[in-house]
Amino acid sequence: MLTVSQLLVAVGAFLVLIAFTATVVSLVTARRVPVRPAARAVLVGAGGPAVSEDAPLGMPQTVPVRSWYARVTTWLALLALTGALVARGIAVGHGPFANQYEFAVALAWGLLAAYGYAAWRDVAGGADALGLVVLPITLAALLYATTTGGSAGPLVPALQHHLLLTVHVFSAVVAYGAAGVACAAAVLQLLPRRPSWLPSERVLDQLAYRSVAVAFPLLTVMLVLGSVWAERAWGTFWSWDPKETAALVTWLIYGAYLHARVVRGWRGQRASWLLVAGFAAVLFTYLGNHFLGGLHSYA
Amino acid sequence: MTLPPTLRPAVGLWRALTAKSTGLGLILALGGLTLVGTLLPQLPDAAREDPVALADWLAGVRPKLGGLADVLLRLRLLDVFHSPLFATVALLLALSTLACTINRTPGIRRGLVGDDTTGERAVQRTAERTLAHPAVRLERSVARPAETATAELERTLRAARYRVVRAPGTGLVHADRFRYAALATLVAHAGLVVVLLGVALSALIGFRDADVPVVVGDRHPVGHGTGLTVTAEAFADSYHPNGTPKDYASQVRLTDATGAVVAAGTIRVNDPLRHDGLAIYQSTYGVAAVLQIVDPTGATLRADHGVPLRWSADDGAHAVGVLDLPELDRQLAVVSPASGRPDPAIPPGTVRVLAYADHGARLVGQTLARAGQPALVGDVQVTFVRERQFTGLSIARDPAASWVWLGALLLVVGMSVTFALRPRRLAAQVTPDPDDPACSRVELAAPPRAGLAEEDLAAHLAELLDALPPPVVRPVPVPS
Repeated sequence: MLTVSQLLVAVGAFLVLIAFTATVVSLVTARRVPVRPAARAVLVGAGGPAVSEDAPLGMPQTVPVRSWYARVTTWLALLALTGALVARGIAVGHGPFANQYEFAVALAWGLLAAYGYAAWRDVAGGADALGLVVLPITLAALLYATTTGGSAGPLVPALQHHLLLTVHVFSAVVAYGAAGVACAAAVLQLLPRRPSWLPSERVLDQLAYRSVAVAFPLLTVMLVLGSVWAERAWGTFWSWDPKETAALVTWLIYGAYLHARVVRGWRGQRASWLLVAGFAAVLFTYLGNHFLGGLHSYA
Repeated sequence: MTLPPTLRPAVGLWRALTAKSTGLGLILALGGLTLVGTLLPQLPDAAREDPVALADWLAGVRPKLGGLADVLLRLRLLDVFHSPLFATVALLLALSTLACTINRTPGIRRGLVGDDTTGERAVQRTAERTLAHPAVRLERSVARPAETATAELERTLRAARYRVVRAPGTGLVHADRFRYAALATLVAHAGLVVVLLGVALSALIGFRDADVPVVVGDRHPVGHGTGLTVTAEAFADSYHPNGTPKDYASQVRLTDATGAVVAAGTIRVNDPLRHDGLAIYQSTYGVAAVLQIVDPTGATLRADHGVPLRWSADDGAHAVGVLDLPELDRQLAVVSPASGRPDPAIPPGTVRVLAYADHGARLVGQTLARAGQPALVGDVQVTFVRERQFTGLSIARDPAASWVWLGALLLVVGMSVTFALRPRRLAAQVTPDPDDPACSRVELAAPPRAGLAEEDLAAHLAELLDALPPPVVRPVPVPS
C-alpha cells in the first residue's frame, strides 16, 4: 500500500504540472462571453435609476469561457492525492499526518481541495486564475515531500491519539489550503501590471476574503483541538512551544486581516500584504520544527 | 452635553478601547511579540526561578546570540510570554474586545429591531427602506396579475428558505434568512474574552508542577493544600523494533491524608489519572540511584533514598542527580553514564558521587561508589544500594480550564456561524402593469451588506426572479 501511495503521489505531481500548463494556456487563450442577463438590472448609482439590459449590477459584464481540460486535470490530481492519502492511511493504520512527508502530501491535497472548491463555487469567473499561484505551491509541496523520504514509522507515544491526530491535523490541512488560495488571490492583486486576462482586483479581493472565511474558523478549530490534545498529553493546554506560538502568530495575522477589512475597510494592496504574511506564517509554522525544536519536534 | 470632569478619563478610555485602530493595533502588536517569542530562544521555567539554572541556560544561548543575549534578557525578549509588556497587550486586547462587543451590541440589536416585521406598518417601513437604498435591485415582468405574482414570489422565497412577511395591500414583501446569526459575532468575541480571562484565572488559582520525579516505590506529597500523596508503584517503557518509543506507563496511587486510596491506575502519555479536579500526567522517566547516607556521627540520615538522575551533564554522556543534605550543609551530585553511552571510568554497578559544601560552591570530596559498599565522600558515608527507575509526573489542578474550554467553544461556534450563515435581507415590490392588468412588474432588492458579496447577491436575485412564471411576451407587429 505504501508503494501504491507513493506512486499516486508521483502521478498527482505530474497531473499538477499538466494542470498548471493547461491553466496558463486556457487563461491566455480564453474567449470571454457576456453574462446571460437573467433579469433587467436597475443601476442604483447617482443620477437616479436607469435600466440596463446587461448583466445584473455587481456582476462582471463578461466571464472567461472555462477550459474543461484545466479543471479536469486539477480534479484528477486531487483524486490521485486523495488516493495516495487513503492508501497511506490504510498502510500506517492512522490518519496520514504524522511526519513531514505525510503532512507535505496532505498540504498539497488541502491546496488542491481549496482551489477546486473555490473554482466550483465561483460566480464571477476569476477562481481559475488562482491556479497560477496555487498549483506551483502544490507542486513545491509534493517535491518537498519526495525529499523527506516516504518511509513510515510507528507513532511516538505523544501522537498515539488517533482521533485528535486526524481531526487536529486535518483542520490544519484544510485551513492551510484555504490560506494558500487566499495568498494566491493576494499575489495576483499585488502584480504591478495585471494582464487583461486576469480577474479584476475586486473579484480577487472577494476570492481572498471567502478563502479566509474558511481558513480562519478552521485555524481556530486547529488551535482549540491542539490545546485539548496538549492538555491530555503534556498536562497543559498551552506551553508556548515554538510551533504553538507560530500557529498563534498565523491566527493573529488572519484575525488582523479580517478586523482590518471589516472595521477599517482595508482592500487591495494593504490587505493583500497581510494575506501574503499570513501564508508565510503558515509555511513557517509547518517548516519551523527544522530549526525551532520544541514539543512538536517529532512532527 | 458637557461631561462631568470625573467621567472624562473613563469616557476617553472607552473611546480609545473602541477606536477602529485600537483592536487592529493590539492584534498586530500581540502577533509581533509572539513572533519574537517564536524566533528567539525562551527561558525554560526552571531558569526563571533559579539563578544557577539561568546562568547555565544563558551560557548555552550565548554562542547563538552573542553579545545580544544579555541585552535581550534585560529587555525581557528572552521571556516574552511572561513579560509585563506581553501581559499588558493581552489584557488591553481582552478589554478592547470586550468594549467593542458591548459597543456593537446596540447596533446589532437596532439592526434586528430595524427589520421589525411584527406589524403591517413595520413590514412596509422595512421593505420601503431596503427598496430605497439597495446595493442591488433587479426587476422583471411577469405574466400574472399582481396578487398572483406576489403569491408566486412568496412561494419562491419560501422555497429558498426565506422567512417571508407581506404588508397586505401594498405589494411590499420583506424576506430574511439567518436573521439572528448577526448575534454570532458577539458570541465569538465574547468567547475570545472568556478564553483570555480563563487563561489569566488559570495562572492565578491553579497550579502545575511539571516533571516531578518520583522514584518507583516512593511517595510524593502533592501539596498546594490538597492533603494528597502520590505513590509510584511501577514504571515500564517499551520500544518498537526500530528503537522508537512505543509506550511509557506508570502505575500510580493517590492517597488522602488518612492514607485511604482515592484514585489509582496506569497513566500514559495521552491518558492521565484524574481525581476531583487534580490530574496526574506521564511526563518523563529515567534512572534513580538508591543511596544510604550516614553522617560523621554514624547516624543514618537517609535510608534507601532514591536520587533521580534527571539532568543531563553538559557533555550529554552522563546523567546527573542531586541530593540536598541541609542538616550537614552538603549537596551530593550523583553521576552515572547516560543510557547507551558507556563510560569506562564509571563501570556498571557503580556511580560517581561528588560532595559540595557552601550551597554547592566548594567541592569537598568525590568517590566512585560500588553497589553495596560504603564509601566516604568528604565526611559523609555513602552506600550505593542499587539502581531503580523513576517516573516524571506533571501534577496540575486548573479550576479555570473549564472557562477556557467554554470560551473556545463560544469562539468556534460564533465564528463558524458568522462566516457560514450570513444574515440575508431582501425586499420586493409587486406592482400591476399599467398597460395590462393581467401582468405585473416584480422588483427585488437587497441592501448593502445583505450577507453576500455583490456578485453573489446579483446572481442570487437573478436566480430568484428566474424561478417566477415566464415573462410577458408581447406580439411584435408584423410590417405589412
